[in-house]
Amino acid sequence: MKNIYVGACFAIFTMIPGLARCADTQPTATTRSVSAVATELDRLLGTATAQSADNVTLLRRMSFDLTGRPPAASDVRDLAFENGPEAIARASEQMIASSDFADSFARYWRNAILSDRSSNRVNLAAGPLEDYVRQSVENSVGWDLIVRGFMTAQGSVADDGRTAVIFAAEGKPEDVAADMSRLFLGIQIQCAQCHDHPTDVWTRQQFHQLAAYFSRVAIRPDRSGDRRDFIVSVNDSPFAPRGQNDNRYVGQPEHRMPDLEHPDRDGEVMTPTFFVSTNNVELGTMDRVRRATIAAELTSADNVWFSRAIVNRMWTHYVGGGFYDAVDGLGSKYEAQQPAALELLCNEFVASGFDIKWLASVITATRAYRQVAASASSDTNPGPSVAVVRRLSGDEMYESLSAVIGAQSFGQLIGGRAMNREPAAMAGVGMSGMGDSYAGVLPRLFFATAADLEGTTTEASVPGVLMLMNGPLVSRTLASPISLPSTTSRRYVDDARRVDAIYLKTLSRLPTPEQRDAALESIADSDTAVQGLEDVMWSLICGTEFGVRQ
Amino acid sequence: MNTLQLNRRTLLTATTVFAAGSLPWHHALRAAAPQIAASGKRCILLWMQGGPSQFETFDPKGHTEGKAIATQVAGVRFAESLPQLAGVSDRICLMRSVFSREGSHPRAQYLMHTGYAPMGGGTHPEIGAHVAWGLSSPDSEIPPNIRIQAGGGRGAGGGQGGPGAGPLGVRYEPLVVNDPASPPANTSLPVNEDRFQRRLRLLRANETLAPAAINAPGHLALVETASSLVLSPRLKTFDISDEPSSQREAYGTGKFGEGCLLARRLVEAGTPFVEVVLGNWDTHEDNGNRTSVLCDELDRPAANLILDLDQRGLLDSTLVVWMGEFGRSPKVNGRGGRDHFPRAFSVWMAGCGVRGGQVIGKTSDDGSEIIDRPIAVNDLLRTIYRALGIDANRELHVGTRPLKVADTGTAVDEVF
Repeated sequence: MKNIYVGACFAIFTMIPGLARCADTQPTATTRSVSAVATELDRLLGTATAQSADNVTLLRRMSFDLTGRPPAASDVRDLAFENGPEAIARASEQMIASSDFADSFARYWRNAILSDRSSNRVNLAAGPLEDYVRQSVENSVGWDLIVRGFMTAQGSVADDGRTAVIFAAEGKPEDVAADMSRLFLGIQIQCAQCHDHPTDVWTRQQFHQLAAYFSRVAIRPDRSGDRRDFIVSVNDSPFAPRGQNDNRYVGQPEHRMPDLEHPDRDGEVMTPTFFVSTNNVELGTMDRVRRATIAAELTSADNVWFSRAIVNRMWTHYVGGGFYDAVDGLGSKYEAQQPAALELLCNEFVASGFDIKWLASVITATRAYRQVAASASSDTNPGPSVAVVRRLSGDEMYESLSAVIGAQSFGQLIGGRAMNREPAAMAGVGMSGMGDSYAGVLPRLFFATAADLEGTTTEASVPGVLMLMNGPLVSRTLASPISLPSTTSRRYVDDARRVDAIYLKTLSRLPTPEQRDAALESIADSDTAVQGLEDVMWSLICGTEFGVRQ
Repeated sequence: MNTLQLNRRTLLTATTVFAAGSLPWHHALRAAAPQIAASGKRCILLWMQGGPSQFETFDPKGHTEGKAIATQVAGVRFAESLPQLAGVSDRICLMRSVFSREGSHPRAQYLMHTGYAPMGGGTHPEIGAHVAWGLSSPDSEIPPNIRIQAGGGRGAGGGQGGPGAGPLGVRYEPLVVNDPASPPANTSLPVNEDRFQRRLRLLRANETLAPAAINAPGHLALVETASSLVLSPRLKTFDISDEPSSQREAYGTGKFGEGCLLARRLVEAGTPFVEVVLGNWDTHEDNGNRTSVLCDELDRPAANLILDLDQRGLLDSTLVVWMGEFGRSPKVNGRGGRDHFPRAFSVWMAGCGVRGGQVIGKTSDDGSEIIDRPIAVNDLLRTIYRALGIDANRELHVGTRPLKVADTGTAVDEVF
């Protein structure tokens, strides 16, 4: 599968004259080691001497950030015998090398691309999108090539995850352009769709010139098979019927900027032009060349916004504070905090061949990342030198609950894991929008919007907390015989050991002596020991610590 | 004055009960706090999911299936399947000239709920979230934005109403009631109350005894809010079996009737926004019969809701709005259905200062065009906000970007 994606990218780029250099972004040796870059970043950020979090906290933090799930209880136990940064460095290396890293990075992008869409049909693209990103990262495909795949895709949405961004934007040139810019450059160029950008320099004309690269693309339903599918289709013919009711099944030869004064008129034809480089392609250019050209331009090492966007995004996700106030708040009028550190990390990231694993290694090696995390309650961006407590994403909550009783049993309990298969009814909630699956419902319960996946938030909701406290998911988890340490097995000599085991499973740490006593007291107060243990686990699952990574 | 300080302080006030911690920094809303909660104004949105035919409801024409009947208002006729609503037409302000450009269900549902076309990367708050933000009182145990799924099926065109609260925050997300005859999800205790209390005691103890302060404030307060809701006597507000049988009969026994009755109970208890969803209006086939069946579900409950609110002295402060995402085509297709038609459709309002007994706007004889007083979606939303005393020009700052409650439009003066 991987070779198909990568092969296709190369096939396209090597065919276009003048773009061969861009195709040559295979990972190359960086000039400096990971630790050297991390040290330099800490020097620039002033975090070199920040107090480091303890190893047990760090293990849980890194485990969520790099693998999307809590650490195994056995790993916590092992680490308890070893102090110092070496153990953490080793753990981080193993996590980034694991398939879980690629998997959690893929889920992050699934959420960033597909959440907050008005139609829940976008869920069709979830599985293929995750496959594409996961396989690309596992095979060390650079971020530039991954993004070019999204920009140049065509064909079946169900078969090829590269189609996901265009599909999510319904194949409409304006929406595709807006999403490509927002997701991969961090620039909200679509604010210039109807008028010149209110808070930046971009003009309405520049927005529609970007849309013009995607004019020949459309989405049409594919009814040929027995499954539901859509096709990202290309039309290079000059004959293209206009759609009805804004439904557009066939691409148009050229994009026209609507005439705001006279909406009934056709509007001015736009020459595809990239607002960053101001390069363009001629009218009449074939779709393949048009999109390959913008893909190469947008992901080029010369385009500073492309590396800044992903560096700021991953930094914000891992550390908490960001270089910019929002992952899509970049632009010529928005100043970055700590620009020297940003520039250093961007340059080294480009030199690494846009290597996502390298980026994760460097960020998690900094003291900025490893320091004691600050409260998430600030209402301004604390900046890149501050680590912030982060509430778990819906996926991470899912994995945490799953870890309590083991993935296999959890899968049986809720019936499958993929995004489309889990009904919201299992969570016992009905939520608005696209939330008909677990992965859709949980983020909506715990977060205001997908944007929160990329930042820090302490927000949960009343329905979300009710789901944990009273919902069938947690009730069934507690009632499952595998969740609780056995009251008959010889493995646990007494309730104190059972309480310890519950803490390790849920919070990746042992209780304090006072917490252990409180738990034992509550158990003694219960009708049966099993009920008492269930209540201990309930109190931890519904508590603050279970829902955050510190 | 420093706007951020103002924001912090007012947030603290607003979150004493719905304390979900402070807003994340990139969603910080530098806007004035709710000032008008004391107005006591409320809104019930009767949302017709799928896009109802204007021809077989409130704008009958020569080609309409079924007859038209006279109403309380001279010269104004409704479809014959709406006799009860015809009987309260003196309280209704009907707009027959609403239009948009969105002909796909999810996009049009989004537009009608927010005033914005959908755009990747963020959600615009829906009407209910703005109303809840502006009109909720901090001491209510009942969430301020409730959405009741009340029959007709949900299949029509995907989506289930509006997109939620977006940057306004989860406090204003709709609490969805999937069945008006049952309490909201997860509000029944899975264990007896003694044991639930023991669990809560242990949870509180764990938080106090945690080895280091967990830098994520607000969660415990949220647990307290949620548990006070499930332990609250006010949870009974959701229990329509409390109502005398005369009331149950007046609203009818259908799901939509139960939904309207529950909506009345909720606004009476002070809930600022309730949306009652009646689905299945997407009549691409057999439009005449299907619309007639849906009108039967709609007619008595909606009319009785207006009368009941009036009798209780609540109609002056409660705005009732009836709308769907678009209308249906003048042309009947080969399957006896009507297709999507956003170019001209009907919406009505009643209560809260709205002048009833009038029709605003007019469509051509075949219904294909607006020939008088076109009303854009944002004109409509601004009219709703004006009735409720909410400033539609208020700007939210989402990160660095300003976002108005309603970006464009002018309220329709004649409504009042």
